[in-house]
Amino acid sequence: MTTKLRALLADDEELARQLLREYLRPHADIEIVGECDNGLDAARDIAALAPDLLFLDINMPRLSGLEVLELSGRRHGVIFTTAYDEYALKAFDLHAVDYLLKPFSRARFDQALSKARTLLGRADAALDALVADQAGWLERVLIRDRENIHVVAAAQIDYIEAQDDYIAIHAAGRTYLKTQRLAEIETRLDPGRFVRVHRSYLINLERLQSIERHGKDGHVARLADGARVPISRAGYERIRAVM
Amino acid sequence: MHPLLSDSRALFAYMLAWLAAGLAAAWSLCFAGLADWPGALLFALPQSLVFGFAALSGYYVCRAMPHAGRRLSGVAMRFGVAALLAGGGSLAIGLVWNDIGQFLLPGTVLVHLDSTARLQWFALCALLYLLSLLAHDVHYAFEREREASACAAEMRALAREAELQMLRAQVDPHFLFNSLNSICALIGSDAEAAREMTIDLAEFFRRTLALAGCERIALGDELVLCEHYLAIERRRFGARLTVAIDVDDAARACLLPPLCLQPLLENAVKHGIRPLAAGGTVHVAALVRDGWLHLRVDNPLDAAAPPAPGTALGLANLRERLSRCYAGRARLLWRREDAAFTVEMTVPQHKDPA
Repeated sequence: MTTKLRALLADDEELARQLLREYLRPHADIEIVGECDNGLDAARDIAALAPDLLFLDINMPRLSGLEVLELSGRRHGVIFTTAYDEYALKAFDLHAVDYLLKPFSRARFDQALSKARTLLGRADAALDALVADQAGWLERVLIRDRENIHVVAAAQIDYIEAQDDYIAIHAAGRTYLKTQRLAEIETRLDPGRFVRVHRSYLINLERLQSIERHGKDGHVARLADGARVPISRAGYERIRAVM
Repeated sequence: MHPLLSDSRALFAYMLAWLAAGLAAAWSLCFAGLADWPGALLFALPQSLVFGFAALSGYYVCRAMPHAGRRLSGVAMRFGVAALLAGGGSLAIGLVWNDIGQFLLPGTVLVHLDSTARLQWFALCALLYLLSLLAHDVHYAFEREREASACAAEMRALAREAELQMLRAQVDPHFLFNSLNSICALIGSDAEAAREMTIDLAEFFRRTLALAGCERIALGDELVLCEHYLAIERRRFGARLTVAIDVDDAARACLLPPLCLQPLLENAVKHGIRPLAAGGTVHVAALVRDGWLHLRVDNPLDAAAPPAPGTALGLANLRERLSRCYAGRARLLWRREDAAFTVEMTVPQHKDPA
């Protein structure tokens, strides 16, 4: 006896999930192990349930489908669904990633499903490229610590500090640790708002209160949360250039 | 701003006229034997200038009462009270000025103001202020008429140009395709509900299309269109979306540029209710007061979510559209508190002539 394929449905509309359930019914070898109506739950359930197949709506509250992939690291067995999303679809076409356009027929659904079956468990390089290629600056930063997922709005961040092989994000009075290099997150944040003032510090200009002299010709930045962040000479030039 | 205040030559001529009035007042004070010439001039001229300046305030009194929806008793009462206040104020200034004159030039009295003279001064100032109010009101009526015809011409041009753009924006593809997908799902489980949803969708688009080229629509008619829209959204979002509408008949009869309310509801559903796991209630309230229509839409929202992109732009566009339609006499305000978003719209009350 073969084990069943385990599927997770992620869509914020109950009727859309109902349609997926209906289309999946004839496929007796597929078992629905979970349903979620927002991106955060989807990311959580992917980690907890490790489904073989994931039906993922691109446009969901809390986290978009692409953010779900970014956060969960999921790169295989994904079938995207969407009603309409001009920007996302351009990127999908560019990277030759398949998706189901709502409303879709049973035949179209079965076709996408059989294609996904042939690729089960194999990581899709196109998905990697798609996630890495998200257009625009980050408006929010996703942080996973064990079973919790934090969504921090970029506007709330005071500063980000590099520590060994992770970064500490200081936002709204809390500190979040994330495994990422400072240079990496710097490239994803709007350079008009976030400035690398020091080898180990990236600050949010909107949260900058003042620049104070420190020592002979050094400077420190005072931020809205009261923290003081050192500014290197090169960092001082950079901050003067954007202000 | 008062039109005279932005035109220095006209303001100069206006103040010159008041100086002449001051001379006349000084002459009559001498003639009545209440003062000698220097005292009368010192008394009347500065006050005529101050009064002339103060009389300009009549412009704002008139503007605060839109011509539509006025009642004679209300107007008479407000004008009367304003004139009496102006008369009282002027008399007080006159008495104080007299005292100041006495203090600066000991031994002289500018004007001998006995009780009869006081009463006459009060009556004169009140009457003059009333005249100023009436003049301003006539001017205001002409100004409104001119603005209305200019606005109507601009509106017609804008309506044509905006028509296509508006329709394109209204047929939000995301809304359309998601609704079709919901219908697709309902066909398998609840054919009757699928049929109702199809009809709501058809009605919504039909009514939207009927607005093409339409300059004004009764709020009640817009609400009917919104009901169809909301019926669709309620099927999509289930129990998460509730709507409370509190609009009385007087407000329903008011005319508005079409599709002012529907986009506000769309924002409330899309950016407010949809991201909330527990959902929430969208409130719509409208009432008419003192010739103004007040309309308010509020909805809960996820306090942690960043501002939805495009909302502020959409609202700014609506504000501009209202400003053009009402020649600057409309107001659109929005604010975001922790977990709530409120939009308030205030426009002059226009009723269907039929």
